[in-house]
Amino acid sequence: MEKISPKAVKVWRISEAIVAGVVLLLALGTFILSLYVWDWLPWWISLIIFGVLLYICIFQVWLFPALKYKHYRYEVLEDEIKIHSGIWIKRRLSVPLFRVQNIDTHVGPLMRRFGLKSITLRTSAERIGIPELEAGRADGLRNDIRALINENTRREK
Amino acid sequence: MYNPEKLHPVAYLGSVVNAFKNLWIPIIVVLFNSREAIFSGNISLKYLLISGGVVIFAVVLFGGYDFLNKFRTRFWIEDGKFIYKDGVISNREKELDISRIQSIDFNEPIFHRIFGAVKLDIITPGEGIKIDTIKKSQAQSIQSILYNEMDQLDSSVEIGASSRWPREEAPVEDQPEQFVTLYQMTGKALILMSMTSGALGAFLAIVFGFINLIGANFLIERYFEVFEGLVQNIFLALGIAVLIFVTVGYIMGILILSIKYYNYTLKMKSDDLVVEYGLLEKKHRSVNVIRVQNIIIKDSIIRRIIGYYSLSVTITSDSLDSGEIDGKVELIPFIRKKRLYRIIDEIFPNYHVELPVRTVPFRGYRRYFQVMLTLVVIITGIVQYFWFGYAWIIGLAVAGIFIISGIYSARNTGYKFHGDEINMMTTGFFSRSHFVIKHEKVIQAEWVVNPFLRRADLGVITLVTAAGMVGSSASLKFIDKEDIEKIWNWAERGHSNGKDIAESGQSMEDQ
Repeated sequence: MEKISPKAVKVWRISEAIVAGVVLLLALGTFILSLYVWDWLPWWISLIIFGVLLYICIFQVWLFPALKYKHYRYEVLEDEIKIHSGIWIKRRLSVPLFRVQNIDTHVGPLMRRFGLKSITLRTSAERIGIPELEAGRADGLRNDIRALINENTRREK
Repeated sequence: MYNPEKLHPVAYLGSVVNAFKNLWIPIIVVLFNSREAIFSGNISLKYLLISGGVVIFAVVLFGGYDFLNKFRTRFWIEDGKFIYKDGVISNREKELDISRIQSIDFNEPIFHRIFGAVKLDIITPGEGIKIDTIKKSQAQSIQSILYNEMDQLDSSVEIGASSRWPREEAPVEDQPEQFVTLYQMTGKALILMSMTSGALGAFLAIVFGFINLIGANFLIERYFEVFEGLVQNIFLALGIAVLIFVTVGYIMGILILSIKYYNYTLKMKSDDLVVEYGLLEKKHRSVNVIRVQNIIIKDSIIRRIIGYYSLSVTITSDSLDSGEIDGKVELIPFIRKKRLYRIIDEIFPNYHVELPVRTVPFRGYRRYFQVMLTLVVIITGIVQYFWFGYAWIIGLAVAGIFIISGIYSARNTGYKFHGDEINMMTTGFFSRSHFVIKHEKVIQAEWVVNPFLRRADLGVITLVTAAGMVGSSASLKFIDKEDIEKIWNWAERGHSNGKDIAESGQSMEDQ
């Protein structure tokens, strides 16, 4: 089974850090507003937001990305895709390739800077994503899967 | 049908009605705000003209577009395709490949029935076409032509959409087949079904909500006056009032369901199943047997006691109504078990329906109710402490119900393989769903454990088949790891693959 790109941890941390930054601004904003502008706004509201900020910093930024990376594995076999994920609740997924209808790749601005790409497989019922792969690997995987699907299709016909 | 055809003339009336329907909120807002002017009695002609003019203008604007659109709508069959064309400013043309059509349905709401019109729904695995308001004769001829064309087409069906079909190998007679009625619900069964329907609970809730909404306090108070005269006890009076409400709601629910499912008929013509029912609004649904993704037999504890079950199948499409988003089509809502199995054998000779074996080990039982139990205990505790001294009695009763329900679920959950298909019994609150899934229809298998479950060697497995937009999933909860591995292997490739499993098992241990 393969792991995703180790850079993913960094990307996830940065994007969560951006969220944390927004929350920090929000918390500061509320604090200032409650002190100087709106009397009716209780000061402890900002405390709650600071609590949320703390949670985001500890779990979302620090702990989860590394753990998520550590526990995420995928494997593309001849006829199926397997994904193992989950930190606390372990989840194994298996999707037969011939049910895959569509393969999309996605690059976000952060991911582009790190040379990463994610893949989304669409079956007739659900979407399955493999996040944050090296760009070359993602394209290769997409082509491989596409080739496999085409081959299967031809064989069936 | 091979020439462009138009909609039923009454469709234009429908667009006017639709315009009013779309505008009812603004109209009410306007009326509400001008209530003083209206109630004062002296509305100036100018005011009337202006507001009336605005409303008419809006109706014309909203309805007119629809009107023109309907005027320009054409549909016809050409060269193995069903073509639908409309559009006012930009033209829109939709083509459906007849070979991909999986069902052709029509419904007759009351409004449509008065004028002999129907709503037509053509469903494919992808996009579909809905035609509102066409003549019933048109709809029927479209249906029969499409079905005949589908029969004439090669039996080549795309991958993944079909299961091997033994009947095709049998000699096919040439004359067009007639519809065979497989099942028709008798009046007695209809009433029994309505009486045991789980939807009744929901209906009661709606009725009570409604009573609350219209402020039936005063209604109940009225009743109290009557009852208090009879029984000098407020609790007894309350009890009787509630009892009367429940009974009335129950009877109304039975009536509504009986009207909805009136004259339920299941018919079959070669590979197409047709379901028809309804007294006021006639529903008509058809399902192509080849497109069926899985079979579901459902029951609830009450229906199981009297020996009745229901049969549904799932099909897949992007264009189902929101109510049918799971792609589930009920074929027979209420039927005796023996007859049900006979009918399944007749419709789906390639499926083997077999009652699954119970598989939940004893250590899994408590997991079926522990979460609900914790919730009940917490809620009861809070209510007991703050508001109501006797809350523990209710809490105990509710907890008991959940425990019994959990044990019932645990005792019934199970699975059984039969060649390339699996029979899975999944359970809910005093209800069971028996899924029959072919191996090639499985689009996803999911295996979930958390550390507690891993220590107990238990797990949850879900098999997903295509259906509507979300897929239809059957999950077996808290069964032994070995059983899960069996199902997992089966779902992966129909045979076990020792090496791979050992490998993935290891990676699970590593984590």
